Amino acid sequence: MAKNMLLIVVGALSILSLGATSGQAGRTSLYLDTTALATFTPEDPNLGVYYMLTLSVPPEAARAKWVFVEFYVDVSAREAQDASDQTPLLDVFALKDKDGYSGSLDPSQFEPLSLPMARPVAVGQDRRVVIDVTEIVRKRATEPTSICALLIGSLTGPRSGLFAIKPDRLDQPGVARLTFFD
Amino acid sequence: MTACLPCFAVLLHSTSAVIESYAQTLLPGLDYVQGELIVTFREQYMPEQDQVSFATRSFGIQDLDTLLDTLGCYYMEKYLSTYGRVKSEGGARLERTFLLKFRDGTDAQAVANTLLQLPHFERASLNRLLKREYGGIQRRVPAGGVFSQQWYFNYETNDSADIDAPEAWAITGGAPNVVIVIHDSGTMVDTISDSSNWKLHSDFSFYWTSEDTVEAFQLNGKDLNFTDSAGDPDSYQDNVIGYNWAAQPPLLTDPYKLQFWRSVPHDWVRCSQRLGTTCSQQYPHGTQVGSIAAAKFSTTSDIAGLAHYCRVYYIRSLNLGEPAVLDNEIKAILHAAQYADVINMSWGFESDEGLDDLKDAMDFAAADSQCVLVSITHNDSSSELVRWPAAWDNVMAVGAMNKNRTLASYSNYKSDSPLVDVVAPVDNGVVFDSHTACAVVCPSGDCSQCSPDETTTTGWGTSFAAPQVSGIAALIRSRFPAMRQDSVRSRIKRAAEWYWADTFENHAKFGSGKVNAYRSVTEWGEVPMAYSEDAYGNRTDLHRAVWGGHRSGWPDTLYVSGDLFVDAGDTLILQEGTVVRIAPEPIAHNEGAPLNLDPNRIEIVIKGTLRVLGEANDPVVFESFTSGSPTNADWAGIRFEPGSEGILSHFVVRNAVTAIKSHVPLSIENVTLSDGSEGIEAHAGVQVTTGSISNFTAYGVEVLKGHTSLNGVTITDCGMGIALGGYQQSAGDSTSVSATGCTITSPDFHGVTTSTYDHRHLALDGTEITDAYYGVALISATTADIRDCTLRRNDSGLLLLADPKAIAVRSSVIDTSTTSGVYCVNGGTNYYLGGNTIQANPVGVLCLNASPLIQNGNSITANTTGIKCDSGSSPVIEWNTISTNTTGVWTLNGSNPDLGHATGGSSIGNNTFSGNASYHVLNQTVSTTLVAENNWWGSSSGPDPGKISGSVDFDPWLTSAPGSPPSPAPPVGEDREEELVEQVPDRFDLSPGFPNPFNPSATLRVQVPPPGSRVLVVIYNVRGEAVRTLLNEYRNPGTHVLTWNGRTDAGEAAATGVYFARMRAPGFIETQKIVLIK
Repeated sequence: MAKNMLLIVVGALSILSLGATSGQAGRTSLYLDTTALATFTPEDPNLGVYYMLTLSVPPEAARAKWVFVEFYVDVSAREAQDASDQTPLLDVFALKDKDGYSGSLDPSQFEPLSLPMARPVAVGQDRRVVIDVTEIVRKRATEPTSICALLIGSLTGPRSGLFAIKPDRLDQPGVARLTFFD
Repeated sequence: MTACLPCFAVLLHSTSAVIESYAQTLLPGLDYVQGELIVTFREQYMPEQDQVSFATRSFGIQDLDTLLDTLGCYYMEKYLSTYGRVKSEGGARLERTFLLKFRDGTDAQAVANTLLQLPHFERASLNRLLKREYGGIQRRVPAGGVFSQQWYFNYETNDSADIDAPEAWAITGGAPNVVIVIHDSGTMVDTISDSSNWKLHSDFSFYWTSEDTVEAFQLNGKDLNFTDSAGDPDSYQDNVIGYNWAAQPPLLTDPYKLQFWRSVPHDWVRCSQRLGTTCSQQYPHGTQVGSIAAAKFSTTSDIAGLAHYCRVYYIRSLNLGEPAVLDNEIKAILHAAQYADVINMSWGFESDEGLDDLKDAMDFAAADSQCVLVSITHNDSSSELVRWPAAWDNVMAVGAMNKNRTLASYSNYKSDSPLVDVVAPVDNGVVFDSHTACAVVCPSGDCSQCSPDETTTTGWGTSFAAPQVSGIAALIRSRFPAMRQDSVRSRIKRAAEWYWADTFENHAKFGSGKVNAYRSVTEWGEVPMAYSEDAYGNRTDLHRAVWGGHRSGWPDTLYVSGDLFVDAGDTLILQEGTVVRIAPEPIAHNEGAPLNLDPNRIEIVIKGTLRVLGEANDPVVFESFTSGSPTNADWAGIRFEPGSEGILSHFVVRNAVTAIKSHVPLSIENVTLSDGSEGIEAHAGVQVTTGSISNFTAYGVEVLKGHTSLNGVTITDCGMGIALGGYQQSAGDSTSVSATGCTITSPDFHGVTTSTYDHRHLALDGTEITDAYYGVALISATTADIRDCTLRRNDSGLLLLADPKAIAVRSSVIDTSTTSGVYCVNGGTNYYLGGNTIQANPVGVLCLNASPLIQNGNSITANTTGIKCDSGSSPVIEWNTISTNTTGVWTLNGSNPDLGHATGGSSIGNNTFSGNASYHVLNQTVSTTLVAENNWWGSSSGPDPGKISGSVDFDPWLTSAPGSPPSPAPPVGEDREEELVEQVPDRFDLSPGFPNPFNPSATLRVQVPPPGSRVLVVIYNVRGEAVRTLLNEYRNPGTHVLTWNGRTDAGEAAATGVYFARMRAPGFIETQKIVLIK
């Protein structure tokens, strides 16, 4: 028989961030609504706003081969001494504990991962960002009491870019989409 | 048995009085036949067979015989003469049941009452006159009857409204040994070519013929020219087409001779052929009903019957305008039961009062004769009535539905009881046998109204729903002759389609749902193993068979309605032009669930051998169909089990979840896969030469193990084009894929991607990847060789992430990306970029904590930033052209690329910087001086200071262009290696060195069989010391030519002498002696 489609069963921990689901054989998408997104304004003026995105991680995600989170951003470059960066780096970190997170950018709050999730994004409007979150989602799926949340933005210094997540640019309402490949 | 009549004297006296008193009431118009009773003995009083004498009207029970004689009994007849051989309760009772006739003037009811006071009888009933009504109403339609008007069989407008008859016919059109009794108004004779003789109706292929020879007869002065199976034009008729139990002569001494022809309405003249001027008023109902069940197959000149190879046998039990007689009805059923596989009864009684004996006959026909009984709910528009016999348990009750799947307004049901078994489509009209037109068009006999173009009749009513079910039952019995009648009925119900909300009312209306002929004959949900075809369209033995190829006698369509297994040792060959049609199944339709499709239900499983031998203009096609299909991923696909074999050429697979899943090496040519979850899921080596893979939501090709090669394959609109790995493998497993001359377009995510697990190898040659997020995403622990490829319009052309092993990207074009041409993260010098054209990207090469080799002829032009070094990146940059960018090289955040050292360092420079708009080099790593010596800055006087920003050491510089860069070479090893395009070897091998002795270099051929393997080739000296490691990596299947240049691993010239080249691979060790001379 063919492989079973990965079924999305949203646990209690992720109820707040659940939007619509879209299932196709071998690939399932889960849309995260605005309750999944929190915005932080840092004290350091060199940093732009950054975001905490809470991911819904069903237990079945533990067997997903690939998991991507997608969202859209507007990206602008900041003035620099000799050149403005047209491909600023979007930092992405996984939080160890969402509930205890106070907005600090102390690296001790971040989950150590074997693969970095950061990626450059070209300056412009409605840039699609795809982050491979397979590692963290798999890890969280086997820890049902844990929370899976990402910090997204210019987090590690003046990366010469400002990012603004744009909601409702996906094909269904939501701020972000999780896609699981079975 | 000896009867005992303890109270006989008393009863005799009283009975005589009763008879006398009732004699005055025997008047015409009563609802029973005067003077006739149907009596049933109690079992313990049943007379012994040899005691019964019909001639003397004696049961061998003296007192009883005396009584009956006194009452005027002059005739006895027994309904069943089986004498204890029946099993059914009703049949056993009929064995004890007799028809008794009494002299004129006898009050049968009084006699019945008298007999019921005796202990002998458990039942004594009047021979009732019954109001039996047919359930169909006819009318004319303007056009001639052709198959296209038989929407109930095949409705193009709404497939969910028909019963899938053509699909069923691909399995079987019935078998002549299956007999459908049409218990109705009889059938019609025809005159076509011979005005002097009558023929049987030409619309039936076969009539059932008894083995009885009967005396021929004439009709209206013409011979009834029935087919004489003996071929002898004698005065005897060899074929008996039916019986009319309605016309009873005084004594049935020879029922064959006296009654067989009366099943033909002998007063009918077919004026539609303009052979006569008067029409019959004969009721055409039976011919119409029979034509739906079993008319001769035609899709052009006339209609087609459902079970068109089955034989029909006509039974009449009443004449039009006359009431039905219970005795006739019983005899008709018992007679039909002798021959019938299916009995269709498109009529009904309003009440079951007094029908106990008929019910027993039905019980006998079903349980003892294994007839499938089919009848109608009838047309009273009632929600509180299902007529009899349909309301009885052992009779299939059929209602009628409309094209829009509502219940026909006239179709009865009982709202508080689920008496309806199934419904069939009738709506307000179905077409049927055209030869009945005259009787409908001009029933008054005025043939002046007839027109040759008005030969089709149509009608509505449940009458025309029942023969659809009877036809299906006959098809089932054709395929499964041993199937019991209750199993046939269950199968029809199980295969019915359900479209309605799961409520009691809907089940009361529709029963199990709308019948489906195809599902019924293909064992819906089970495995249809029919294969070879007999003379009647029935197929048996699917194994070891060949389909298609337009060969005479072989159908080109293979219908699969359940999992199809080709077992070990069997071979299924699909020749060119074969269409394999997959019917997805509903989920729990009998439980009333909506008609959803379960993609996991139907799969073609190969454990033996599958050969798909399509041709370029005539491929083999695997596709799904059902109501509303095909839809994406509505069947599982083709799976090759371990140990199976597959040779697949020129074929198409559509709508499968996973079109091809293989656990064995496969060879595939010219394939088109589309619309599902995965095109190919390879658990072993799969070779695809020329193909199109499109619209798969997950992967175009997923390689989980072994070596898969794709040659000339186009992959479009998939979730990801090619995916390597995805689960942790055992130690020693390896996975690789090579794509040569392929095109990957518009995946939702990545064109090619690898997982994080070890033992992955990717080879892309001449492959174009466009409009992906990452054109190629190479994630840790992967080796890759990408050459002569084009990565275009991707968000990023290439992602090198987390220190993959030995990534070489050569001679490729990476342009017009949204973000970056190449994005290197967390890697060292095992990232190699050589000879590439990287242009028109926001950033050509972006290094983030990465230190790739960027050398040997890269042309990095027209980017916003040519090379951006961020977060501690230290790439080695030499022999490149970095021009016409806004910024050539930008370094920041602690990065320190090596752009050239006059002495020491990793890079020797030789880069050409020219035409960069803002800076050739922009160093924003404040604490570090960037070394960029031995480069050509477009001027013999060195770089324009305005094009250098930050601390940059560019002195010395080249005073002229550096000339041609070295050819791009693999980053590992200095000995050359070639991969020969030869036949893939089937075993490991190491050839002798050549030349031998050699100086300065020798070649060694290494053969690697599928699926590829890690191979170790080491040169040892005579003391057994390893001198040089030529190869210690994974290699694809094929022949690889290694060249040893006579140097040691330290780069020193090896001494003259004897050496041994040793090759090791899993399960293989080989050594060759080689001599170096100087």
